[in-house]
Amino acid sequence: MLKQMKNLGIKTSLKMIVPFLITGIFGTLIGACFYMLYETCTMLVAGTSSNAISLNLFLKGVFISFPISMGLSAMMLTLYFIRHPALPFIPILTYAVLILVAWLVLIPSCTKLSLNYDTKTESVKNKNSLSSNLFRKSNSLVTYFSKVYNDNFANGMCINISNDASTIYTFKNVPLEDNKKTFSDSLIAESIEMPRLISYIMNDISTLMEAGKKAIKSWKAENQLTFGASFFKGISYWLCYISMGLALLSVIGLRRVSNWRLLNTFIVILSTFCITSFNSIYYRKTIYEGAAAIVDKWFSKMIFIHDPFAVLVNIVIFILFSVTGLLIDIFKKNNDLDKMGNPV
Amino acid sequence: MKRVIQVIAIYTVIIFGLCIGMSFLYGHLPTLLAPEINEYVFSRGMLWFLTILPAIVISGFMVGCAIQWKNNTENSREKYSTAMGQRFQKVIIIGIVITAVLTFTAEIFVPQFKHNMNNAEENPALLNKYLYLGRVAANEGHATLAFQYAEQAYKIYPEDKAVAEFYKESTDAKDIEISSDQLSEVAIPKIIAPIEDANRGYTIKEMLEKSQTAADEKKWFDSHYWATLALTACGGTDTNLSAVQNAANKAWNELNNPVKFDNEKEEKLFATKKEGYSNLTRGDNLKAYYIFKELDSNIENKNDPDIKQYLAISEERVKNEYFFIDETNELKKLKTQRNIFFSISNPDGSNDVVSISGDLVLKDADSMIRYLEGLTIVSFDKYGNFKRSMCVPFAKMLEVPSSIFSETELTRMGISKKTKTIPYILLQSIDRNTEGIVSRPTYSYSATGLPYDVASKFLNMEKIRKIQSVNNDYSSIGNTAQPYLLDDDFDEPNSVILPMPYSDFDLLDSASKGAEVMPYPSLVEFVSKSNSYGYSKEVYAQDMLKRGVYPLFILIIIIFSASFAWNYRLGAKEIFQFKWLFLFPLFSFVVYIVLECCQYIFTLLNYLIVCLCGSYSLIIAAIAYIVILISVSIQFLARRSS
Repeated sequence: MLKQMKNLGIKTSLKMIVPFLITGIFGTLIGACFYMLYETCTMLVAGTSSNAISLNLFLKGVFISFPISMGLSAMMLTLYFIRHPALPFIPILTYAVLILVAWLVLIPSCTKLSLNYDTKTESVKNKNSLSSNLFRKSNSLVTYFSKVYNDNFANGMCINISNDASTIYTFKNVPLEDNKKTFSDSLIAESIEMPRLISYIMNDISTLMEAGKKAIKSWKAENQLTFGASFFKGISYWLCYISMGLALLSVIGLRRVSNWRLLNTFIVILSTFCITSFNSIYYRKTIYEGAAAIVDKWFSKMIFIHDPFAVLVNIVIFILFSVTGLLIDIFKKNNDLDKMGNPV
Repeated sequence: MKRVIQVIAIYTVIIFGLCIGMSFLYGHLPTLLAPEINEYVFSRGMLWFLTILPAIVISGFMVGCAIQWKNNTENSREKYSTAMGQRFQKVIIIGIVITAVLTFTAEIFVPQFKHNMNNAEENPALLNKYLYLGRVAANEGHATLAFQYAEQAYKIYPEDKAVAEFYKESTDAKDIEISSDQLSEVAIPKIIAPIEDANRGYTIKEMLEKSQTAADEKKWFDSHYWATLALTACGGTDTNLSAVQNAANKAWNELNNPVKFDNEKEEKLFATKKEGYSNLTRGDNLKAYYIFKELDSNIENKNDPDIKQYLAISEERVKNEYFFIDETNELKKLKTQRNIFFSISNPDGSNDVVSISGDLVLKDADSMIRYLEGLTIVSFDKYGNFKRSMCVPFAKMLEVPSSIFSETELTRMGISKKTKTIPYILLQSIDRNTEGIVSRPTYSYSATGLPYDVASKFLNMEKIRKIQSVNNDYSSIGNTAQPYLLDDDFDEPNSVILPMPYSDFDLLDSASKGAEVMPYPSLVEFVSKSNSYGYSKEVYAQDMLKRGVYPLFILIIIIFSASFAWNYRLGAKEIFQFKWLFLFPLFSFVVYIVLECCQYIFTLLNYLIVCLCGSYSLIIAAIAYIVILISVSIQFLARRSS
């Protein structure tokens, strides 16, 4: 009996739930902790103490890291499937169900909760005024505040080292710039500001989450009328948005694209990265304006299709990867499995 | 494992070539001096290469492992098998080698190439500055100063025709000046301490005896000199006081009524010597120095012992208050540092901010001397109000023992009793031969305010405009109309004692450049002192932690990537295809992203440890990283074949 289950990949299918849950739970918790830590650091001012633990920030972190974890679950499960090869039918079915649950139920529920939470709670972020008696270097200017008053006025001096010879200016009672940057203190920013690449990835994620929130808001707005066309129109916002999820789901089609599992894992990781990057760039509306305008015209009469360019590209990716995977599974012998479907 | 090493080596060499090649093809160069272009481009290529080196090496290692572990896996069917233990040993050995290489490059080569690039970027402006200042000095007739600037310019760009010509001109001018002054030999006696005289090491009795011996030989200058020294040492109470007074009076009377001279020349010489000596006794050491210097430059007075002796004495005293502009010529230059700044807290709660635009460290026979260029000290009172600023174009810093001060003085200055030596800065400089060329510190008691272009970089300009329109004053931003009310006892000094250990100056030298390029031992030493010098402890402690645990971080990543390589190793029936080699950049790119993410997560963790553990952060972080290392090692040993 056990052998029969193994052959069909039922055991792999059941085991697949474990990495899905681990990704969801641990990914969310770890992500939330780091979000809390990062946000605390952004409020930190050198030379002052700060409380690293904040329930508000942690909850905000949960609302951010849970959809990310769920979004990445397709990639994680594919990596798991590459590592634990089995006959594909049942595991892929399980995989599809899990990912669809994630995109159709878990992510929208979390986004709705997050929207409710955002409206109920005020911004937890407060900007602290700078501390005195420390040097702060920004490009070619070194500032030193001997006193910072509560109204953000300061006394001090600055050294302009951009000139051939450095010039020193002293000043009294001048209003400091209101902090509009991410970090309250440039000193802290200097040492823990995100590297450019991570910042780019985080911007991508943030754009996608904003687009998701927008889709949910539109869905909720249309849902005021529960029946008829507006219900479908409402959900269509979310369905169009999660065409990205469909593209991400299809990366499983690449799991055997080469005979080397390590290479396949990297291809899957990179494909996930490219799909999310494409979608975020689209939602930022910077690069494909021209192409998007043409595609928008094609679908101008179909009111249920929103952001048609992104939907079209995501569906093309889905078809391409799925067909690739299907053809590979049908025609390419899996050397990692024996005749009975057991891993060798 | 041979194959693993081969794969890593070949791939690394290819990427190295690509980085250097791309740097040469890329262009986008800042303004550089012609001979420095190639070095700059090479440094940039190296920096690119070293930035991606960890990703290259780790991806190479991972790929190598995944290929290597294709076969002979039957012996690892169980968790924690002996075969896996043997593999772990090899992984650890290679891991340690890779960690050592990466740590070495991060600590030595990366800062070095960054330094080279920064210097190359700064040199064109610096060259212009030296040429400009040199020409100004030459036009004003300061040949020695002009030569010094020319020498600095020549050091930067010797190949340039204009620079070489200017260097030659100024060298010639300096040589002419020196030969005209017959300065064949310049002796620079070592200064033991300020306000100290080399001849004060004698007892009163010995000094009295010396005075009497000199009187017997009719050397009245010497007799009076030793008697005066003895008189100062008596302090009005010694039993020899009256004898000393008599000796001094007698010598002075003899000096005032000298024996008849054979000729007018001799009489004139005596009068000049007496004038110089009188100045010396009155405390006008500078005037005395120039009188004796002029007498000494006359070849006819070459063998006059009085001139030689009182020139040496006056020079020694002058050097307690001034330094010579040309001193640096005679000394061996060790290093230069640009833009040093730090603050010092005084016991009364006030703060002094010290800024130095250039620091030249020199070595004479047996001691280190620093020459500070563009020294500014800004003082703030205990409420953070601007008090005054002092600036001087050149200053000389000496290392003096704190023992020359009494305990009360040390406490008043806020110097710890444990501090052995402290920096003593001479703010006045003079020309060795020409009287009147004196560089003195300038004091100001009003805040300068800020020009618009500087203010807009960190001030709220909207608020400023509102305030200006209300006050109807658009002159400057943040200046003070009324000067700070002076302390009654503040007398603009010509020398400064910094209340800090002299050895900390070296730390501040490198701290001003930033925590990431500080030598690691200095960084560890500096962290506990950072706040007291105006540097953020959090930033320096975080950097100390980041760099300190970097080897452990790399080792963790290597063992983790070995586990990953095992999980996704090449199948037993698969053959490694040559075309896969071309996909290496893909591996490196993904590893680069993952490494960056991991490094950033660890940076945040470090910050948490710094905030929570304070001074113990390095130890706690090391323990935490070792625990992670053990966990990933156990995870690797638990790998098994299916």
